[in-house]
Amino acid sequence: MSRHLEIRSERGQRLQGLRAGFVSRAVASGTDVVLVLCVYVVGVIMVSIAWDLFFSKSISVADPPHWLNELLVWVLLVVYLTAGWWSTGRTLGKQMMGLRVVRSDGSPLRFLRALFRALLCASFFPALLLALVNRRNRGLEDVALRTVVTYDWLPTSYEPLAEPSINTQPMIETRISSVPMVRS
Amino acid sequence: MDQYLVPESAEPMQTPSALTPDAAVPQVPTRRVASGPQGSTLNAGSRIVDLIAGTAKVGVGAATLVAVEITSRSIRIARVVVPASIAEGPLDAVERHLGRRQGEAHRSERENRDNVAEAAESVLNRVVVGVVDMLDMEQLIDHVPINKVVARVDLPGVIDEIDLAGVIRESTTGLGAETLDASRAGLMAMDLWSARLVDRILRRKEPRDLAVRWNGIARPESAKPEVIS
Repeated sequence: MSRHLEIRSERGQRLQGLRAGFVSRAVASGTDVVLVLCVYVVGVIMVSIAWDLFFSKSISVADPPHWLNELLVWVLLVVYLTAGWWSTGRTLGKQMMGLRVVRSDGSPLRFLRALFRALLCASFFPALLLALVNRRNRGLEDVALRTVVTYDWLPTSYEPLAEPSINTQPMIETRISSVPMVRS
Repeated sequence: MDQYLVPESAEPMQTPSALTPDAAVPQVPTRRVASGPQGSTLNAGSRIVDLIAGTAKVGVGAATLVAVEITSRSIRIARVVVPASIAEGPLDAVERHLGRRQGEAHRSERENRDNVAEAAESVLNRVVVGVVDMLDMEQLIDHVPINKVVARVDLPGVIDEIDLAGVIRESTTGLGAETLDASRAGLMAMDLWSARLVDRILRRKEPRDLAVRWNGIARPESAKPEVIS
């Protein structure tokens, strides 16, 4: 039985396994950044309280210098992104948006590739903007590290169901006067 | 209520003028079903007559089928007893006739059964509604020992049987999944829209290639031409 039967949206079924677009990816990345920021803030508060409980007479929340905040958030973001992409191909944000990061041949990312991708993404957010204009929806990180972000709503990773003929490469048409179509 | 009780069969009849193109033919006034109690009673009466007639037809049909079956068996016996040279022709003719009659009887029986079921349902509805209308509900409720009835109900047992937690869990999970799917589909639409917009600005005529070559294999089911709106 096709696993696409579990997806109720018709459009969702049709686009599974294809390259994801800019908006979904941007929303997923934004969600990840917000999550990391929340985790960082909660972490700082808890560490401060724990520290004060043992080593101080009064409880207060620490106010680290600006550069330290940025550095810690950056490190946390890199660790988080690497862990997500290396393990399942998705972070929580991508899980929410139904996206998965794979290599250009569809195989899962290995640790180093996931790490370099995370370093690039965490250091240079505008890298994603290239996906908006690229013909294959590839961001700078995808071009540099030969990765692909696909629509993949279901928990298990996408696998092609049968071997097609050589002429069956799908295309999404973005014509001026018509709606986009998948064609053979 | 009277309006509710008028069945579909009581719709205005087609007038002769509607059947003929000649507009000069004087129109016969359309018969309207009376909406008062008298009309309802008349209609109920006609449905009862329908029910009785339909039941009789079903009986006749069943008798016909039995007769056909008996005749068929008799012919089989006759074929054994009577020499074939004498009986073959007439018996074949009778059998053909019987086959036709049997088919007609089966068809007729099915139709009659449906008609009887419909009429019975209609009559029952009328009877039940009539009886309920006749009852004095408040007096009836006064006579029902509700407290005793409720006391006998094993409410914890009923709740255990329902598996309320499971129902709530399933419904909330389903709702969450549907909401998530809807938001993902919305973002997909925005992806396609933004790509279309950018391509239009850049005056591109070639379509975007969104295929991923999975281990060198293009995704197969995307090969089907589909419109993505």
